[in-house]
Amino acid sequence: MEESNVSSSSAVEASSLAAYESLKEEIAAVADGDLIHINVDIPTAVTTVLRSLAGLRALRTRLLALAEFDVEQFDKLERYTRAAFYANMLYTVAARPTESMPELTEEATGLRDLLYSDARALVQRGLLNGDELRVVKAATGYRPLANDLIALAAVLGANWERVSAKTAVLEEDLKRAQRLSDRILNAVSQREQAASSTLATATLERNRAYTLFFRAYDNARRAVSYLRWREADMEKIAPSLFAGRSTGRRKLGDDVGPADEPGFVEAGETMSDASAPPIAPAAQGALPAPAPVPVGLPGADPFIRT
Amino acid sequence: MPASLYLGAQRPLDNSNVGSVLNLPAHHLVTHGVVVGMTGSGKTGLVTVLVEEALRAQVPVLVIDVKGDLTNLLLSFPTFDPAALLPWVHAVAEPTDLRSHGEIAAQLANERARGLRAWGIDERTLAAYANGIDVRVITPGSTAGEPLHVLSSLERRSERWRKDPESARGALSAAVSLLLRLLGRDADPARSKEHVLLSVLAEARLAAGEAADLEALLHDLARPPITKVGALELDAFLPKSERRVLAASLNTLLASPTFVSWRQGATLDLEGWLAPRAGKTPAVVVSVAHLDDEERTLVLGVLLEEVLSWVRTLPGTQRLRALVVFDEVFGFLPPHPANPPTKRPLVALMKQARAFGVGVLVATQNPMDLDYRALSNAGLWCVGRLQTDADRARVVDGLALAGAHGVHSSSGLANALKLLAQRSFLMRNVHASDGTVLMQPRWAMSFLRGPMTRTEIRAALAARAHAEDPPSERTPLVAGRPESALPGLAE
Repeated sequence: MEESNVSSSSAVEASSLAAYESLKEEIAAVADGDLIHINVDIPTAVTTVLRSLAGLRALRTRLLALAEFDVEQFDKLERYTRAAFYANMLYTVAARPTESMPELTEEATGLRDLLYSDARALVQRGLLNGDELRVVKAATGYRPLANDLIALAAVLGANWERVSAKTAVLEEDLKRAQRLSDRILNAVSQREQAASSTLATATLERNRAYTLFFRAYDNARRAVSYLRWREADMEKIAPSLFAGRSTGRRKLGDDVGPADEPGFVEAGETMSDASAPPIAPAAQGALPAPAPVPVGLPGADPFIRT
Repeated sequence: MPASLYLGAQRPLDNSNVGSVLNLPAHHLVTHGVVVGMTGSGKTGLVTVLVEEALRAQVPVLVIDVKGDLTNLLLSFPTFDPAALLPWVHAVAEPTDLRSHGEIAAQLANERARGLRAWGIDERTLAAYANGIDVRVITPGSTAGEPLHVLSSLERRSERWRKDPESARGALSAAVSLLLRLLGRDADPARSKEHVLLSVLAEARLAAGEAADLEALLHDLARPPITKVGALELDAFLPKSERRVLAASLNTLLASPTFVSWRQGATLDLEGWLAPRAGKTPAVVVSVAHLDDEERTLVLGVLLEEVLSWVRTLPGTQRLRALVVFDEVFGFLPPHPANPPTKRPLVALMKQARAFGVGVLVATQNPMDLDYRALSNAGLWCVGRLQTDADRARVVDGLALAGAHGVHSSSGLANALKLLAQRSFLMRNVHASDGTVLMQPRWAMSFLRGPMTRTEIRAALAARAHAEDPPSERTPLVAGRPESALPGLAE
């Protein structure tokens, strides 16, 4: 297994990039049907696993003796972990909005309503031509909102000398309308571009990398659970990624593995060996969480876990 | 036994129990439903499932499709065969995906089969559904689907003037507004003198049992059969010169080739639209995605006035006779003081249609934009992820109006809303005793390709028209849950 080295953030980023690059083909090969729904906070999960690596490595020789144990996957656990971290970082960057649309929209809508009502009052007083305001539709959507602001600023600006002394609208309001309009159009354009390609790709990559990471750690935990059954210290060596969840969920048995899941059997031993520990759950919280149900299928987690 | 709609699974709001199959009695929808959720919350999927289940229960559905998503009802294939998905792969494939379309179709078909089977839906059920429904897509102002004669309530005679003059007047007003909008003139019924004059002239003909086609209205403008409008002489109300200008623009519109598509095709005949055809349950999708905002509002105003008129002709019932679905209702049912032509008939439907067995289901991503009277009339609430605190607060207020809090506090509901995952909803059914629950919709049987363009609608209709019905698959439609319990779900 590779050595872990968590020193500075730049070093973490570099090692994560290297891990991600080295696993690119394997990540791309994860089938969509095998994807595991992400319901943990990935940076927290990564920290948990990196901290457990030393303890896991200490058990490597004994783990090798387990029949059907995938040692290659175990040896790549650190790289899977770092790659998942890097893929999550790429996703976070892609998903970050350039502008907060709800706040921007709220401000722009407020200004549009203000300008429009003042402009209507000026029309009533015969200071503005009502026909010029017909282009203002107060319709739904970001683009119509931006267009309304431009139109209102243009109409009021063109008649500014005549109306400036008769209205509460300030010249700064007109400039602000133009600025807000530009920002909305920019944000919408960027969002449309990003939504169709970058973000979708980053989302899928993250999910694939997470799937590899989760599988490797989950298998390692199952193996450790078997080896350290009597000591019952598996949670200390390789803590659950779901630790700290509400007791309500644990009560449901969500953190309890399926009873018919095949366990690992040490070479030379059989399951009928009386000294062999049972694979079925015995102690609450001592067993790994089951693989999360993919979204859309019966039993998927209804809540986002952060 | 009353029909039930198999919507998916439910579990208690505190997530403290295993899920159970969610079967909604169909008649619960006569008290209407509201689906809210931000983009990506799974709202359209849930609405599609509700429509599919209504159709499985042999309840005709009228769908008003503003965004173009619900034309996906055309993509209800009877098998899991990847070949059926092949024509639609280009629309859903990522630009960076270098696999062949065949490979992508195979993967999509595999996912679809896995998802549907997980919910207990097999090919037999799929085939029964696909062969038991009759999907029509009506595209006003376009020949992509069936064009719609949107001025039929203006131009064609109707018995309604004798039976229900009030609703006939509403439909006429909406049609005249649309006509004036197409002429580029003021379409406001309360402000436009032209609207008033055209309405008076048309009503005089229609009430006398005649048609009021545009040619006849042109004649009446040139030689008015009336001398007064209200208390004013006609010339004082609208001078002859202005009437001549109006007549000239009407004539230009009449001669315009692009206007032809507004006056041809299906008549606004809700009774005919929603009657079973050849034993199949009708789903009529009125798609207005290709129109601009104002045209949409006016066309849908005309349509909804017709729906309201039709509802009022029905005998009373407590069962669900038909379902009217309005996807993306944002802007069409706004709070006071906004009053687009769609609002009056929608509010009236949500107040009155219950007695006639017609349910209304509206969906929106912006709960701030819904009229509170409509909200308070909805008995079924499905609330998905919402973007802002203000949206969440509005929904919690709406649930309070519907008496939906039960044992749950407002802050508890707001917190649950914050944490909802994709394709998960809080559901409150006023007819149920279990308060607000968590709901997970089942996988939709229709292939959710996303908004369809006019070209795609044309292609899908053509493909459907040429599809052969496999005779062996014609099993009767039975609504409700599948025979066996779902994996992981309790009965």
